Amino acid sequence: MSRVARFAGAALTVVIAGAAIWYVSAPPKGSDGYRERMADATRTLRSQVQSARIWAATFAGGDATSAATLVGFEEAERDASSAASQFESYEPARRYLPLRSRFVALAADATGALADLRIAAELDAWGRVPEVAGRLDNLAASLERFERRARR
Amino acid sequence: MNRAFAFTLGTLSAIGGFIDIGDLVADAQVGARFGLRLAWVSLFTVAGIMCFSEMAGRVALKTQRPALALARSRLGPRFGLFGLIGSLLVTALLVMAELAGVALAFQLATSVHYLLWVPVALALVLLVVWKLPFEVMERVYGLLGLAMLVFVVAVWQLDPDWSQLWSSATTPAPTGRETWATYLFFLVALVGAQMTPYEMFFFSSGAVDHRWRPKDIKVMRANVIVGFPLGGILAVAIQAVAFLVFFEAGVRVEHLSQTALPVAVALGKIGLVVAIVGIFAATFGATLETLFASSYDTAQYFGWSYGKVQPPARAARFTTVMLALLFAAAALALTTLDPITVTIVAVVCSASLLPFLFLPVLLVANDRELMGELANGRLSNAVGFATVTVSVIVAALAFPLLILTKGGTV
Repeated sequence: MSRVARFAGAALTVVIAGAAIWYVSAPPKGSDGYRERMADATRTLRSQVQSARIWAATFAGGDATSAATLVGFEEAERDASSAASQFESYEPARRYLPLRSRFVALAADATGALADLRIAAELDAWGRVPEVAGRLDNLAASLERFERRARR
Repeated sequence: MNRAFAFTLGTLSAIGGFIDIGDLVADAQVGARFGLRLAWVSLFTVAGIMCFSEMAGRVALKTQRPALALARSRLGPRFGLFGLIGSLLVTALLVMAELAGVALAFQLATSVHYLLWVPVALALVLLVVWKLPFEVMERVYGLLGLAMLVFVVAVWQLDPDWSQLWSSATTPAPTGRETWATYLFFLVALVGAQMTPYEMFFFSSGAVDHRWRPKDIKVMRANVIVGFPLGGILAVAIQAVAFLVFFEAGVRVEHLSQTALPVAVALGKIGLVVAIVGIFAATFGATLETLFASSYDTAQYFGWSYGKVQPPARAARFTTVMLALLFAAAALALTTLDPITVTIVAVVCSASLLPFLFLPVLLVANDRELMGELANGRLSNAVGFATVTVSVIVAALAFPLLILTKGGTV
């Protein structure tokens, strides 16, 4: 293989890799892209809320250890916070500001409830877990409705 | 008793290789999002990896050399070096992911952050590699890995609607809320997770280390027949429990803890503890397998003396490669890189390498001059060619799908 062909091959690889990284990490493009990202972030929040709810119910039924349940709560809170903060950093079109505000409120409720669960578990106040987890059912339903709205 | 223990190389290869962190994560993700709609992939991967492990084992029995080392000596150093670098890079990522998997199992048991467990996992691996004889090592982790059967019991305990499971398993298409691109991406991820090349390297190099001869062909085949289908059954069971617990709730699996959660739902604390033991054994076994496979691979390419049955001082370069890889993997794990993301990238890279690793083995196993009466028959060739053909398609799709679906996150 000639030196020119090698150089061309290497350059093409770099260009393709750069384009791939840009595609994967770029902020949303256009209003459809923004709504799609909002729906995806909401889905992640709902997934984490439901995961924490299942951990809490399993623990309350005496079927999970406190150590594993705490790990489940920590991971749910961390992933939910990360999804919410990443989406909130995107700049919306003016007409999406009300929708964004609703997302921010729902995300705050979700991450707040997940933090309460984690704190109760860390403080060994396991008696409080069913009470806090009770909020997760409604939250999951609200998030599901909001996700449908964002995808319309 | 000895007969029962004769199967432990296959069980370790299968549980440590087939069910490693890649599978624990990918199967649970697939089950939660697609139900059993990708379970058919496991039928293909079990047949493919059984075929190639048996082929590689047969070559080792006949020649007392691992199949890939022979293939490389015939295809030339350039081809060999390409395969070596590719598989070393992928396997190094997997060593990091498996080591982190061991630490995550400790975290699940104690709730202490997994990064604090990484040095402990490293010390344990070092101790086992240095002190434990090969046979004891494979027996302990092969048998401990049987704890993973708790996932099969959990399927029964969750009392599923069997007709619903069957309907899901016989619908090879995405659900309404998923796209074909995501479905195909997870197909590629499952192939990469379940047909990891290091299973084949480990199995054939282990056969050389065990000093198996042509008369041992029945033991070798029994290892293949017992080990890999067991891995396939466990993979489908993990998909099934994730489907039953997570699908309706819309949970997307992102963590190893979520792989264990359905077992707790089904079987309570005891089930959860057994699942954590199984996860520990599977990831620990896989750490050993990936380490040995990479070191075998490097030593065989350069013609160094190698083997776990030799004292470390007599295979100094082999041991050095193993230790360097282990410390590098631990350092990478401590950078806080997300082990689950690394796992997904590693299995996709692994899928893209499959044809380059399968084809040489197929060529050597077909060489009648070398293999004599142990050369491939029609069945081995039919399954082998089908596997290589599918692996070429999977390799071509792997990276475009990884990018298009952003690693299955859309």
